[in-house]
Amino acid sequence: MQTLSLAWRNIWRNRRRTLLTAGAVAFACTVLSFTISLQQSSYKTAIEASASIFQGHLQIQRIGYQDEPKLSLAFPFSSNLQSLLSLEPSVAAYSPRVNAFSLASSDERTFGVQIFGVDPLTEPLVSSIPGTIRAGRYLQAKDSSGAVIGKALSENLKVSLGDELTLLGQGADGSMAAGIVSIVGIFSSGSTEIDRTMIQIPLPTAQEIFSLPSEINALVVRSTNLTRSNEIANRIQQILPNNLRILTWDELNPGLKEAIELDMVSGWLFLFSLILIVAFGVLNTFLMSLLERIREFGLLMALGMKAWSLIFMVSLELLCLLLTGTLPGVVMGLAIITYFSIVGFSVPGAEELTQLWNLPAVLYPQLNPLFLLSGPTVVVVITFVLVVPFSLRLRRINPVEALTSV
Amino acid sequence: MTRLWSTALVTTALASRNILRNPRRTLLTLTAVIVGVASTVALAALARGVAQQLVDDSIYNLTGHLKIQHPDSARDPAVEHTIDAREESVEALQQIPGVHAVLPRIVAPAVIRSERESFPITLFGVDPGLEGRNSVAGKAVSNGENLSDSDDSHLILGSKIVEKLETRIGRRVVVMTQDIENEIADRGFRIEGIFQAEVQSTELLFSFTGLETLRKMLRLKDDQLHEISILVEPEASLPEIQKQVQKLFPKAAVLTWQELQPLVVSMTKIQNGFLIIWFLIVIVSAGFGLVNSLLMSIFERVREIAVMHALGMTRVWIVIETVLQSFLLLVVGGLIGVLGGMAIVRQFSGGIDLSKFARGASIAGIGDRIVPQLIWSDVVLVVGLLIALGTLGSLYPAWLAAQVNPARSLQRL
Repeated sequence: MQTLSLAWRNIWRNRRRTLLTAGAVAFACTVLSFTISLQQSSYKTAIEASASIFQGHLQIQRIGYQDEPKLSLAFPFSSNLQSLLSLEPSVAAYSPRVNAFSLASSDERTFGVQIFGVDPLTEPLVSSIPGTIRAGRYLQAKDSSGAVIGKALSENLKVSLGDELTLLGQGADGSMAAGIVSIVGIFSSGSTEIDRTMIQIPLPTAQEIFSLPSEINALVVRSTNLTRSNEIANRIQQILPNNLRILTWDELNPGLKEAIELDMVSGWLFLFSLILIVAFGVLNTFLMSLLERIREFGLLMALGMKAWSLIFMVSLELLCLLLTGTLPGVVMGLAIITYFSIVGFSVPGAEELTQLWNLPAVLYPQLNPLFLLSGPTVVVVITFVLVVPFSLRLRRINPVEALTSV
Repeated sequence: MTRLWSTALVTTALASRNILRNPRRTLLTLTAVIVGVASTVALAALARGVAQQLVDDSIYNLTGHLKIQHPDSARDPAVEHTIDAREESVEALQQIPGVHAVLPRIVAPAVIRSERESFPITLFGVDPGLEGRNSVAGKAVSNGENLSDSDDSHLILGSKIVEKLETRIGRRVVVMTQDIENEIADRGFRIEGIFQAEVQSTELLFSFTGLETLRKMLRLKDDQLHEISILVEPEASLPEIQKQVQKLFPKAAVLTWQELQPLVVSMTKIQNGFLIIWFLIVIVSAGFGLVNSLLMSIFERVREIAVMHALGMTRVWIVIETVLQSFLLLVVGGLIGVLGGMAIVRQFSGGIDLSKFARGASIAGIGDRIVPQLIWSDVVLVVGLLIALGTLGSLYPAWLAAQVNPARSLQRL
């Protein structure tokens, strides 16, 4: 305790120097706290957005379906499975799907499309698409030949509400699959890819057209907590039959996961160079303060202070100096993030870019102690790593020589 | 005049000697500046490399510098959206000064089907001789054989789609699309070659056959094309050529790559803004250290400054001497930093391997190898900002030095 108060007084012996050094640290910590929080929040938003549009937080599939999504890799949607899932408290909702590739022809045009057979009652619980109907309505339980279609696809096929589409594809057994559906709704999910390629029809209709009686390709699950999805997946996996697998968002969308990792690596390159610059600044100040006090250290040692206590004291000085900088820095970062989490953060001219990541145009960064503190923590650690070899040299101080030095 | 000159010389000598009086401190301050400049130069080169690759890839991936197409085809890539491309107008294109290559194409959204799987693709009918080195369509296949001419009726597929179709070279696949009469047009193709592309989605979506083969399949007339992609010489003026092309094709849309790829343009713009902000952040951080070490050197020399003051050195020259110290430090640190940055860039001149993140990089539209690109305007901007802001910041210690009161300071120990 005494050492601490000594260390604290020592750093304030040169007020201006300490303030300037702490200022540099505070500035860097503000930048770090804010940047990391913004970055991590945007990842979270991107993951949540891409999961909630259509993919879902988790999906139960036949083993191998993810790598090779074949219609025939299906499994029965048994009441047994349903009751197992209902018992799991972290499952908020689930919905079955059949997915087939098919040709869709209107009077004038033909395109290759993705047909999804969905349950009209449970689908709105796992996907945001039913909520983005721009014309008409979403599928209803009594629909047998209704279909909802992406807006861009409807324009390309030149169809509108009430028009019929002929579907032509291959059934699960390899037979020819054909059916006629009529458009009851047009959606605009916000994802270009989905809006250009997707048609949803009622699950029983899809099972009939593609000869897949009472079987499904995927069971889409929304969990109560996306960040804990790994843990939830592990628990559910244990109660699943052997031929089924539950996949988490990053397994379902490895591209997004890798893109985030890539962005994180490149982001840290930038942040790390900033941390190094600041650490060198602190090292500079710290060494100055050691060198000008060699006589004083000699005196302290002559009076009986052990070299290790001396090293402990200067380390405390460094810690005090760093905290004087990091604390205001974190507070400033916190203030800026709080401000943007209320008014929202947006970069002008970035609309195309945010859409690519399924991000909203305005981002509301999250207040999370982990994001806030990780940058400043690295600053403290790196500075200590740089400084330790120098402070260890204090062991070699010879009181007699030190006292006679200038 | 000579007096002023000699004073300036003496001051410069003083400043440089003062820097060297405490080599350890100078070295530490220099290190911070050097690390700042070197890392900024290297990271800027990396960011520029990504941007350049993004632009190059999108031009190479069939966009070209200019594209002539039907005004509606960007929104709706339907078979009937053709352009009227008579032979004489296509030939006239080649006569425009600055035009490097003219690449006529027929494009069909189609479905490809093997015995096992079917997928949506975009089928391009190309003239392989013209595409040559100019686009991914003329890129040498990694497996099998390239298309021989416009009448070649074989198919070139990306390696990714071949894998997904569970097929291989020599096998037949069926391609289904719609012809100009809105009838279903399908025909069998033999897979002749497999290409690999920088970006995975290219391998998945693009496939190529001979221009005339696809023309027959879609039942298009001889003067109908879907697009003409134009590459220009590096020094040519794009807007100027765009105007001349538009005159030859008055009814068609003539678009530059910037208009066709707004995402690439907006990414580059955002990156520019980001880099400048980053330069400022780094410089401010390094500036703190600089001002601090200057401050230290002033405090140590209070008595000495007082002596010089007492001997008749005016306040202005004291300020100049102090500012000069930081200026010299900045110039030396900046230069070494730039050299260091260049060394780092050179180290990675073979490209940085991103294959671990290939699928992620593909979303961002970049390939899995990035070559950093040193741009001199960035270097000048970094060093210029550093010297300007650093010198400005050192006015504070300089001002403190000028405040030294000779009478009082000399009495102190």
